[in-house]
Amino acid sequence: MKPWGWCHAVVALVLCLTISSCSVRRVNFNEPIAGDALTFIKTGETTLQEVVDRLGPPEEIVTTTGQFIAEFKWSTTRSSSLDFGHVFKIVSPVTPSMTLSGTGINVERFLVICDDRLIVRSYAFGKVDEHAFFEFWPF
Amino acid sequence: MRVMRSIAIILALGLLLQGCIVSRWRVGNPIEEESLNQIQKGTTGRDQIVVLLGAPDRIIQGNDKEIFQYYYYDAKSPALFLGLFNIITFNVKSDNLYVFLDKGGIVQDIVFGKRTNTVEFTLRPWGK
Repeated sequence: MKPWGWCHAVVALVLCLTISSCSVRRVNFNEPIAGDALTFIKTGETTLQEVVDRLGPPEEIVTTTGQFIAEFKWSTTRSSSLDFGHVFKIVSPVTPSMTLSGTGINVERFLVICDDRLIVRSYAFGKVDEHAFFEFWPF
Repeated sequence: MRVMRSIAIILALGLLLQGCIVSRWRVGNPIEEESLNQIQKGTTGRDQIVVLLGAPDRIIQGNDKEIFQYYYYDAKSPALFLGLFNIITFNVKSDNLYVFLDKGGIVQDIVFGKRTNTVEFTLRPWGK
Protein backbone atom coordinates (compact mmCIF):
# COMPACT_ATOMS: atom_id res chain seq x y z
CA MET A 1 0.00 0.00 0.00
CA LYS A 2 1.18 3.54 -0.82
CA PRO A 3 2.02 5.83 2.15
CA TRP A 4 -1.05 7.96 1.35
CA GLY A 5 -3.20 4.82 1.40
CA TRP A 6 -1.93 3.90 4.87
CA CYS A 7 -2.52 7.42 6.05
CA HIS A 8 -6.12 7.35 4.84
CA ALA A 9 -6.67 3.95 6.43
CA VAL A 10 -5.35 5.17 9.80
CA VAL A 11 -7.48 8.32 9.65
CA ALA A 12 -10.56 6.23 8.76
CA LEU A 13 -9.82 3.80 11.63
CA VAL A 14 -9.37 6.63 14.15
CA LEU A 15 -12.60 8.27 12.94
CA CYS A 16 -14.49 4.98 13.22
CA LEU A 17 -13.17 4.40 16.73
CA THR A 18 -13.97 7.97 17.66
CA ILE A 19 -17.59 7.73 16.68
CA SER A 20 -17.96 4.10 17.67
CA SER A 21 -19.35 5.18 21.01
CA CYS A 22 -21.59 7.95 19.83
CA SER A 23 -25.04 7.76 21.42
CA VAL A 24 -28.21 9.74 20.99
CA ARG A 25 -31.03 9.36 23.50
CA ARG A 26 -34.47 10.83 23.55
CA VAL A 27 -37.19 10.73 26.20
CA ASN A 28 -40.72 11.73 25.21
CA PHE A 29 -43.19 12.39 28.00
CA ASN A 30 -46.80 12.70 26.82
CA GLU A 31 -47.94 14.20 23.53
CA PRO A 32 -47.45 17.93 22.89
CA ILE A 33 -50.57 20.10 23.03
CA ALA A 34 -50.81 22.53 20.13
CA GLY A 35 -52.55 25.87 20.34
CA ASP A 36 -54.82 25.11 17.39
CA ALA A 37 -56.17 22.05 19.22
CA LEU A 38 -57.84 24.33 21.77
CA THR A 39 -60.49 25.94 19.58
CA PHE A 40 -63.14 23.74 21.18
CA ILE A 41 -62.66 25.36 24.60
CA LYS A 42 -65.32 27.95 25.39
CA THR A 43 -64.64 29.70 28.67
CA GLY A 44 -67.64 29.57 30.97
CA GLU A 45 -69.10 26.53 29.16
CA THR A 46 -66.52 23.79 28.62
CA THR A 47 -65.92 21.45 31.55
CA LEU A 48 -62.56 20.12 32.68
CA GLN A 49 -63.64 16.56 31.74
CA GLU A 50 -64.33 17.72 28.17
CA VAL A 51 -60.83 19.18 28.01
CA VAL A 52 -59.40 15.94 29.40
CA ASP A 53 -61.35 13.87 26.84
CA ARG A 54 -59.62 15.79 24.02
CA LEU A 55 -56.16 16.45 25.47
CA GLY A 56 -55.59 13.68 27.98
CA PRO A 57 -55.42 14.09 31.76
CA PRO A 58 -53.56 16.83 33.64
CA GLU A 59 -50.49 15.76 35.60
CA GLU A 60 -51.50 17.86 38.56
CA ILE A 61 -54.44 19.79 39.97
CA VAL A 62 -53.77 22.50 42.51
CA THR A 63 -56.29 24.58 44.43
CA THR A 64 -56.43 28.31 44.97
CA THR A 65 -59.27 30.28 46.54
CA GLY A 66 -62.43 29.13 44.79
CA GLN A 67 -60.50 27.76 41.82
CA PHE A 68 -58.82 24.61 40.57
CA ILE A 69 -55.82 24.82 38.29
CA ALA A 70 -55.16 21.78 36.08
CA GLU A 71 -51.60 21.53 34.84
CA PHE A 72 -50.98 19.57 31.64
CA LYS A 73 -47.31 18.73 31.14
CA TRP A 74 -45.26 17.23 28.34
CA SER A 75 -41.56 17.16 27.72
CA THR A 76 -38.83 16.17 25.32
CA THR A 77 -35.37 15.32 26.58
CA ARG A 78 -32.51 14.95 24.14
CA SER A 79 -29.14 13.67 25.19
CA SER A 80 -26.05 12.78 23.22
CA SER A 81 -22.57 11.61 24.07
CA LEU A 82 -19.30 10.93 22.34
CA ASP A 83 -16.62 8.77 23.99
CA PHE A 84 -13.14 9.61 22.68
CA GLY A 85 -11.62 6.97 24.92
CA HIS A 86 -12.17 4.35 22.23
CA VAL A 87 -9.34 5.95 20.20
CA PHE A 88 -6.96 4.41 22.76
CA LYS A 89 -8.04 0.94 21.65
CA ILE A 90 -5.31 1.25 19.00
CA VAL A 91 -2.47 1.47 21.51
CA SER A 92 -3.88 0.26 24.80
CA PRO A 93 -5.60 -2.89 26.06
CA VAL A 94 -7.58 -0.67 28.42
CA THR A 95 -10.26 1.62 27.07
CA PRO A 96 -10.53 4.71 29.25
CA SER A 97 -13.69 6.78 29.30
CA MET A 98 -13.30 10.31 27.90
CA THR A 99 -16.87 11.32 27.22
CA LEU A 100 -18.32 14.60 26.11
CA SER A 101 -22.03 14.69 26.71
CA GLY A 102 -24.89 17.13 26.58
CA THR A 103 -28.51 16.87 27.72
CA GLY A 104 -31.35 19.28 27.19
CA ILE A 105 -34.80 19.00 28.72
CA ASN A 106 -37.81 20.88 27.37
CA VAL A 107 -40.72 20.86 29.78
CA GLU A 108 -43.87 22.53 28.50
CA ARG A 109 -47.07 23.33 30.35
CA PHE A 110 -50.64 24.17 29.63
CA LEU A 111 -52.73 25.49 32.51
CA VAL A 112 -56.51 25.38 32.71
CA ILE A 113 -58.17 27.42 35.45
CA CYS A 114 -61.57 26.09 36.49
CA ASP A 115 -64.17 27.33 38.95
CA ASP A 116 -65.63 25.35 41.83
CA ARG A 117 -67.92 23.42 39.43
CA LEU A 118 -64.94 22.52 37.18
CA ILE A 119 -66.04 24.83 34.37
CA VAL A 120 -63.11 26.32 32.44
CA ARG A 121 -62.64 30.00 33.24
CA SER A 122 -59.36 30.63 31.44
CA TYR A 123 -56.33 28.83 30.04
CA ALA A 124 -52.75 29.61 29.11
CA PHE A 125 -49.55 28.04 27.87
CA GLY A 126 -46.39 28.22 29.94
CA LYS A 127 -43.21 29.72 28.54
CA VAL A 128 -41.50 27.32 26.16
CA ASP A 129 -37.98 26.07 26.89
CA GLU A 130 -35.90 25.72 23.76
CA HIS A 131 -32.71 24.01 24.80
CA ALA A 132 -33.32 20.37 23.94
CA PHE A 133 -31.25 19.56 20.90
CA PHE A 134 -28.46 17.09 20.23
CA GLU A 135 -25.24 18.63 21.42
CA PHE A 136 -21.98 16.86 22.22
CA TRP A 137 -20.04 19.90 23.37
CA PRO A 138 -20.76 20.56 27.04
CA PHE A 139 -18.71 23.77 27.42
CA MET B 1 -22.66 -12.87 -7.81
CA ARG B 2 -25.90 -11.16 -6.75
CA VAL B 3 -26.45 -13.85 -4.07
CA MET B 4 -22.93 -13.35 -2.74
CA ARG B 5 -23.49 -9.61 -2.56
CA SER B 6 -26.77 -10.13 -0.64
CA ILE B 7 -25.04 -12.48 1.82
CA ALA B 8 -22.23 -9.96 2.28
CA ILE B 9 -24.75 -7.16 2.96
CA ILE B 10 -26.65 -9.33 5.48
CA LEU B 11 -23.37 -10.31 7.19
CA ALA B 12 -22.25 -6.67 7.31
CA LEU B 13 -25.60 -5.61 8.77
CA GLY B 14 -25.41 -8.44 11.29
CA LEU B 15 -21.97 -7.33 12.41
CA LEU B 16 -23.10 -3.73 12.51
CA LEU B 17 -26.06 -4.51 14.73
CA GLN B 18 -24.20 -5.17 17.94
CA GLY B 19 -27.26 -5.38 20.08
CA CYS B 20 -30.70 -4.13 20.84
CA ILE B 21 -32.81 -3.72 23.96
CA VAL B 22 -36.56 -3.56 24.16
CA SER B 23 -37.78 -2.66 27.63
CA ARG B 24 -40.97 -1.61 29.32
CA TRP B 25 -41.46 0.31 32.56
CA ARG B 26 -44.64 0.81 34.54
CA VAL B 27 -45.33 2.95 37.59
CA GLY B 28 -48.49 2.44 39.62
CA ASN B 29 -51.48 0.28 38.82
CA PRO B 30 -53.60 0.63 35.68
CA ILE B 31 -56.83 2.49 36.44
CA GLU B 32 -59.65 0.07 35.62
CA GLU B 33 -62.57 1.70 33.87
CA GLU B 34 -64.88 -1.01 35.29
CA SER B 35 -64.17 0.32 38.78
CA LEU B 36 -64.84 3.87 37.63
CA ASN B 37 -68.27 2.87 36.30
CA GLN B 38 -69.23 1.81 39.81
CA ILE B 39 -68.63 5.30 41.20
CA GLN B 40 -71.81 7.37 41.43
CA LYS B 41 -71.62 11.12 41.92
CA GLY B 42 -73.52 12.22 45.01
CA THR B 43 -73.71 8.76 46.60
CA THR B 44 -70.36 6.97 46.56
CA GLY B 45 -68.29 7.70 49.65
CA ARG B 46 -64.60 7.94 50.43
CA ASP B 47 -64.45 4.43 51.90
CA GLN B 48 -65.98 2.85 48.80
CA ILE B 49 -63.50 4.72 46.60
CA VAL B 50 -60.64 3.23 48.59
CA VAL B 51 -62.18 -0.26 48.31
CA LEU B 52 -62.61 0.12 44.54
CA LEU B 53 -59.36 1.86 43.63
CA GLY B 54 -57.08 1.40 46.61
CA ALA B 55 -55.35 4.15 48.54
CA PRO B 56 -54.82 7.29 46.47
CA ASP B 57 -51.34 8.16 45.25
CA ARG B 58 -51.86 11.75 46.32
CA ILE B 59 -54.43 13.74 48.30
CA ILE B 60 -55.01 17.40 47.42
CA GLN B 61 -57.00 19.62 49.75
CA GLY B 62 -58.59 22.99 49.12
CA ASN B 63 -61.83 24.85 48.44
CA ASP B 64 -63.61 22.68 51.06
CA LYS B 65 -62.86 19.65 48.96
CA GLU B 66 -60.54 16.70 49.01
CA ILE B 67 -59.17 15.38 45.73
CA PHE B 68 -57.89 11.80 45.48
CA GLN B 69 -55.37 11.46 42.67
CA TYR B 70 -54.49 8.12 41.11
CA TYR B 71 -51.82 7.86 38.44
CA TYR B 72 -50.31 5.24 36.19
CA TYR B 73 -47.29 5.63 33.93
CA ASP B 74 -46.36 3.36 31.07
CA ALA B 75 -43.02 3.62 29.24
CA LYS B 76 -41.77 1.73 26.21
CA SER B 77 -38.12 1.95 25.36
CA PRO B 78 -36.41 0.52 22.30
CA ALA B 79 -32.64 0.82 21.90
CA LEU B 80 -30.41 -0.06 18.98
CA PHE B 81 -26.67 -0.50 19.33
CA LEU B 82 -25.05 -0.20 15.93
CA GLY B 83 -21.34 -0.55 15.33
CA LEU B 84 -20.87 3.17 14.89
CA PHE B 85 -23.85 4.62 16.58
CA ASN B 86 -26.30 3.95 19.44
CA ILE B 87 -29.89 5.13 19.49
CA ILE B 88 -32.06 4.97 22.61
CA THR B 89 -35.62 6.21 22.87
CA PHE B 90 -37.87 6.29 25.92
CA ASN B 91 -41.57 7.00 25.36
CA VAL B 92 -43.62 7.72 28.49
CA LYS B 93 -47.33 8.45 28.86
CA SER B 94 -49.61 8.83 31.84
CA ASP B 95 -53.16 8.11 32.99
CA ASN B 96 -54.60 10.24 35.75
CA LEU B 97 -57.77 10.03 37.79
CA TYR B 98 -59.01 12.77 40.10
CA VAL B 99 -61.92 12.07 42.44
CA PHE B 100 -63.38 15.22 44.00
CA LEU B 101 -64.96 14.64 47.42
CA ASP B 102 -67.05 17.14 49.37
CA LYS B 103 -66.75 17.92 53.09
CA GLY B 104 -68.75 14.82 53.97
CA GLY B 105 -66.49 12.56 51.90
CA ILE B 106 -69.04 12.02 49.10
CA VAL B 107 -67.95 12.01 45.44
CA GLN B 108 -68.84 15.28 43.71
CA ASP B 109 -66.93 14.91 40.48
CA ILE B 110 -64.57 12.61 38.63
CA VAL B 111 -61.97 13.64 36.06
CA PHE B 112 -60.25 10.80 34.24
CA GLY B 113 -58.04 10.67 31.19
CA LYS B 114 -56.10 7.83 29.58
CA ARG B 115 -53.06 8.13 27.37
CA THR B 116 -51.12 4.93 28.04
CA ASN B 117 -53.06 2.99 25.40
CA THR B 118 -51.18 5.02 22.77
CA VAL B 119 -47.56 4.48 23.95
CA GLU B 120 -45.47 2.93 21.21
CA PHE B 121 -42.05 1.35 20.78
CA THR B 122 -40.94 4.14 18.44
CA LEU B 123 -37.21 4.43 17.79
CA ARG B 124 -37.05 7.97 16.49
CA PRO B 125 -34.68 10.32 18.30
CA TRP B 126 -35.08 13.12 15.74
CA GLY B 127 -37.96 15.35 14.83
CA LYS B 128 -40.47 17.28 16.91
